[in-house]
Amino acid sequence: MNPLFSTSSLMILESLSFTQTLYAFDFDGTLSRIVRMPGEAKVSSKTDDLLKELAGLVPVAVVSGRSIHDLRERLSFQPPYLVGNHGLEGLDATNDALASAKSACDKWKKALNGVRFDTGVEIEDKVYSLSVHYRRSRKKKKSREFIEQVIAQLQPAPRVIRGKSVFNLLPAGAPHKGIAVLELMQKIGMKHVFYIGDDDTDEDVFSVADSRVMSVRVGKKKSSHARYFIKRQSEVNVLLKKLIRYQRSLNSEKRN
Amino acid sequence: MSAQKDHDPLFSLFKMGVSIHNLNKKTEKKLGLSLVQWCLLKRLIDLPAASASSLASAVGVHPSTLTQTLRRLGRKGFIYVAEDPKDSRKKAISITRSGRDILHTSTRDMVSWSKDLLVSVQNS
Repeated sequence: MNPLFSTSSLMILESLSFTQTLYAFDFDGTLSRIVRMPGEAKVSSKTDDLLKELAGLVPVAVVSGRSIHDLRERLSFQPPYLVGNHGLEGLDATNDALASAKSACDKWKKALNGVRFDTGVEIEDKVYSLSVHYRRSRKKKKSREFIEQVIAQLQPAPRVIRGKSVFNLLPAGAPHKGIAVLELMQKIGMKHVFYIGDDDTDEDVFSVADSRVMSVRVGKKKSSHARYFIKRQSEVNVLLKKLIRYQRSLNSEKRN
Repeated sequence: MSAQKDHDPLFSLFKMGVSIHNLNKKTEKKLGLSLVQWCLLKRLIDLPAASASSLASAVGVHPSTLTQTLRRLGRKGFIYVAEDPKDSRKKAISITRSGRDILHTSTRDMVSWSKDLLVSVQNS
């Protein structure tokens, strides 16, 4: 993993602006800071402004485990591409696939409602997927182990993507962020993707064995498959400013 | 005898080779880029952080034949060669802003000269 804000990495970042590149951003922990209550996550006005400005220059996508409806309410503008539920929403999922995902979620919800979790464990219903959060649990390890046991008994068996103090439950066969990002890139005719995320769910993008993906992790982690990292979430604004600057200077050349 | 020589495919190939060689000299002199260097930059613009092998495959040559060309382009400041973050044995090659600029300004000339060459080869 190399630092993104080094001379050589920035040269590569700039070279992405010379070709048709999709700039994709994870939401929680990337565009917004991690908060104790998932419902409280919000994008700072500065980040929101910068993202909006960038979206006026290049194709921008927000790719999240949240539902599209939820994402829309957390941004002041409508980015051109919103991908929710880890790729189940916002791309070309068929009605059958969505209905089957919803039906699986309803069954899990019913089963989980009868379980006595530790206080601080919350179940987030995202219509086509569920998230079981334990960030606010006082006994995190115990809660995590208990949730694991409960999930193992769910029918139909979900695909589980672990995140920061959260278990994301998706229907088996549902796409993940890696598939979603590549699908979106192809759908809109882009040649490359820049992707930044912070969580284990983003490893699905980081581990895509495709040289067309430039992956960046928020926070350095040895075991991550991301190629580059920024140190912390607050540096996302620095990144956005750089991307805007690269694009603006290209656009001014074209005008001249 | 002369007509026979003109229809000899080897002679046509030779003439084409000479024309390409002359075009190469012309592009070097006027743009500071050989044909191969230009073609490589042209492919590289859509392949940020490409490995030498993927670049060679995109251009259709063996990776070993690219070494000199890459070195020259690097010296001219048109490409940047970094270490691959995932594999230090590999290199990640990207076009620089100067490389993009030269490509941008030279494309029209390059296309026009290439067309002229093809027409002259067809007419000869």
